[in-house]
Amino acid sequence: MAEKKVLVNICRAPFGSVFYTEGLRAAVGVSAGIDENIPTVLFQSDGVFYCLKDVDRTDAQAYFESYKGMGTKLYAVKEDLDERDIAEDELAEEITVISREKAFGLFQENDFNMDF
Amino acid sequence: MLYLLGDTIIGPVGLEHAQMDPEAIVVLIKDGVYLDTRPVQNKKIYAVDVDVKRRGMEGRLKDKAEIIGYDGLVDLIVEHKVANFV
Repeated sequence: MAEKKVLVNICRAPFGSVFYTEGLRAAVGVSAGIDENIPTVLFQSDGVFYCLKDVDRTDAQAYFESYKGMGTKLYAVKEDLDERDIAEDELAEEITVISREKAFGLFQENDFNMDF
Repeated sequence: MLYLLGDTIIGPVGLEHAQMDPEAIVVLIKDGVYLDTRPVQNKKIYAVDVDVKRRGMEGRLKDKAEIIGYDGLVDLIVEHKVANFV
């Protein structure tokens, strides 16, 4: 297989489950190996709670360090932030806010997607 | 695109995406059979038989979705690009 674009779609709230950490880990994992696939991370629904700048990243800090090195894009959906009264200045600096329509476009652009 | 909707937490997000896709095909699987599909009633909707029967949802879904087995689901997955919300 050749290099693919992979969208990691995190929709569940952080903590209390393995979903969000497994999703963040998967984003690093798909970039490894001979194919060096290109991951993008999308936070939707309650998943946007993990974008808060004050969130505890103890269990995933290494993944975020990897994203920096890989230039991985991290997106949060504005409509989901608004529904939860989360302002953009409450987000971690590496998060880019996009519309639901743009998020929809990410599913079209990427070769594969995985949900967590 | 084929939208696999498998629970009531992230399934609604998938419903929103399916609404934006003029060629969306929706598949209800696992707890996705509990989803309110009215927002996508103009789309083709399938539901996986064992998941429907196990949850006693046949009567509630019979007019809204075509019931398929896992063999049919495999065919759909092979034939379409898939968006996962399971």
